[in-house]
Amino acid sequence: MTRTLFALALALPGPLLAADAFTTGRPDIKSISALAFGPEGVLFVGDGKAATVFAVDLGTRPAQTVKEPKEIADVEGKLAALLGAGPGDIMVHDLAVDPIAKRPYVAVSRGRAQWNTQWLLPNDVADATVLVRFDAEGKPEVVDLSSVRHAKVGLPNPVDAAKTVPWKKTSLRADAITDMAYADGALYVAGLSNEEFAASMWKVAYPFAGPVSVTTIENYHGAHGKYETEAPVRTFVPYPIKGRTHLLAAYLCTPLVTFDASDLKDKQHVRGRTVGEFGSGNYPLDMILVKSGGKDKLLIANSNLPLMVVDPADVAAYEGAIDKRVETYTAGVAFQQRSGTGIQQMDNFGDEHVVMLRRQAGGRLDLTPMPLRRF
Amino acid sequence: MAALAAAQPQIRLETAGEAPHRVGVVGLDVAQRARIADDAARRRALAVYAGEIGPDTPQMAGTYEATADGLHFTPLFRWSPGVAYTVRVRIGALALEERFQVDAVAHEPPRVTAVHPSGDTLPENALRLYVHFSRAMAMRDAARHVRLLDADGQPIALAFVEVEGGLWDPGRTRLTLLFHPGRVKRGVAPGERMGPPLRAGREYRLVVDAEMADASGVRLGTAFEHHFRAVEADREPPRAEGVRVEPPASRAAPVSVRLPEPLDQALLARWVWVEDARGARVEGRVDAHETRWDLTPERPWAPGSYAVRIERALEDRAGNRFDRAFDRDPGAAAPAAGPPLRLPFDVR
Repeated sequence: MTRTLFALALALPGPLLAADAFTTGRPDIKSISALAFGPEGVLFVGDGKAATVFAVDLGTRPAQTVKEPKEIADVEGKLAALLGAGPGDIMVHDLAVDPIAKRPYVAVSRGRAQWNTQWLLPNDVADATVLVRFDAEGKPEVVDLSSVRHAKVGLPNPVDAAKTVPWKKTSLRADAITDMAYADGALYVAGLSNEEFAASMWKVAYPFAGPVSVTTIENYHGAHGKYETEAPVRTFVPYPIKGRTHLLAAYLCTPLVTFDASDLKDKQHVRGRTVGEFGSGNYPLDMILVKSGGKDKLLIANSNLPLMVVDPADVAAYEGAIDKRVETYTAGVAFQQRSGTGIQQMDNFGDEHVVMLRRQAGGRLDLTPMPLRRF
Repeated sequence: MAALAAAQPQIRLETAGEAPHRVGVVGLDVAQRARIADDAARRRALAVYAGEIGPDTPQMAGTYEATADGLHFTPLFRWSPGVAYTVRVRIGALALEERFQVDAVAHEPPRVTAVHPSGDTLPENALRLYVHFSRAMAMRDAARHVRLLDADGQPIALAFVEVEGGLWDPGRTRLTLLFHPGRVKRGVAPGERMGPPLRAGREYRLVVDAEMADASGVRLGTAFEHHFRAVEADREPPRAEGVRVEPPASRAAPVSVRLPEPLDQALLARWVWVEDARGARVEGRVDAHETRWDLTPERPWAPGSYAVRIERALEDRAGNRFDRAFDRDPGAAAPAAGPPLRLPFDVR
């Protein structure tokens, strides 16, 4: 999940959830491709299979302050017990922590047994159909969606399910929604549309009553030495640069690219500014913005590289753009490496911690808290 | 009038086959049923766990339903083979516990249960082979894993029609292999050029290799072989006069039909039946064995007149029907397909 910076929205008064678009019942979610929390603790569910985003009202719940988040050991084992499966079947697709009640939510499938090569991401392998929440003791429970207030909006022109990725033979539809984040009254949704230049960013006004725009986006990828229009954004966060909202986006083989959100107009094609090349042979799996010692930091979790820490001030200060083949392994803005391999997903947990879904050396998947002062 | 004895509460597993896929406790008395009035109480009363139960092990997610006979739990997903489940019942003083697993056999390899025609000879113009498996198989790759080899172990090229995914019955337990008709029928180009896939007098082996897998990916493990010898082509229709009916020896015994030569086993199961004097079909269990067809009636035979009926389109191994040969000489007139054969018998 990508955490929105604009947590201020949580404090906004006003009946954002009172929009007419909300109904009560079971949302017809086909696949939980991505999770993100939004204003007033609304949970956004990105459904790539149905090419629809849902806003789910989790109801009023007391705000919690947790001084020391609990480590949840063997997340897959616990989910397996909950779902009556073997731990080898359980796959976690995304993680988001409820900023109000401080409860981790995960999107889960029973598809991991089908996973067979390092380039397959969870959404390539199976559709997550179960939303699970962990309680304060670390016990999982299936979130009952049989009767919830929710609203939904379809994404126009999603990529055709019959199209496949040439090099990994998976349906491109698995990448119809890769990540989502809320900022400034809109939910940004990264993924693939059915355009010739497939990489796209939807901007969905929230509450879901306003316009939905789609912009195709491209970037120069220094490691490949070319402009790329088909690879989707893997993970992104909104961040203000010089007073304007930008989207900082990471791609496969790890270029970091910025887009000025005000350029993202409907049915336009926009080229982002490549500011970093952080190493090929790697998926950036998740990116979050944290505040440590009063300073913003960008954390990037990777499939094959260590945890990376980037100072967004360096991104803002970076002159020009990478537009030539990068012969060195990395280039552009500086990043620091931190211990933290095997981190699949992460999110902010209160003001002093992040939690990381991390594959330990012994193979166990744990949800581990980490103090922000480390960054 | 004697009072009905109260049933003892007991755990009931419903794990086999299709839905319902649930577990429950039945035989609860009124007082026990009163204790499971809401979902929270039901969850406490009937807890189901997967795997080893530790202090942190959550109860399985699912739905509860209280019925007149007890309390039932339906898991969110179907039971998984190989997972040990525990069901614990705690209602007042009642404490029951049971462990169970499902489909332990699903991890055993699938097997080839039969090949039809099953005999050790096959006319060189045979039309098809059926391979029966012990459970639903993976459709893909049937062509890769099923081969016809000659006496030297060399594969016969283009022996069977290649159908993407293979020709499976809906349950995917029976694979139909069609000998390439162009090679079987006379006067058709591939047959003229390449000759028939089978040659009279030669030995063959039908091989299903060890990699053939069932629908959940479990492989056969060891190759299956069916040996047979090709014999002279059969271009004669089966003769209706050769069919013999053996009336049932008793009221509960089967009626048996002896066939003049091995007939297509799949069609035999569908195209032979028994009717009574009024033309109504007699229901029962059919056993079709290529040269023999038996019907064991559902209810004992009532004395009277019956008839075995056989569709004339029923084929022998080379596709010859009761009403005409598959591969007639040019110029021979096609006889009209008549009504089903009628072979009367009496039950006294």
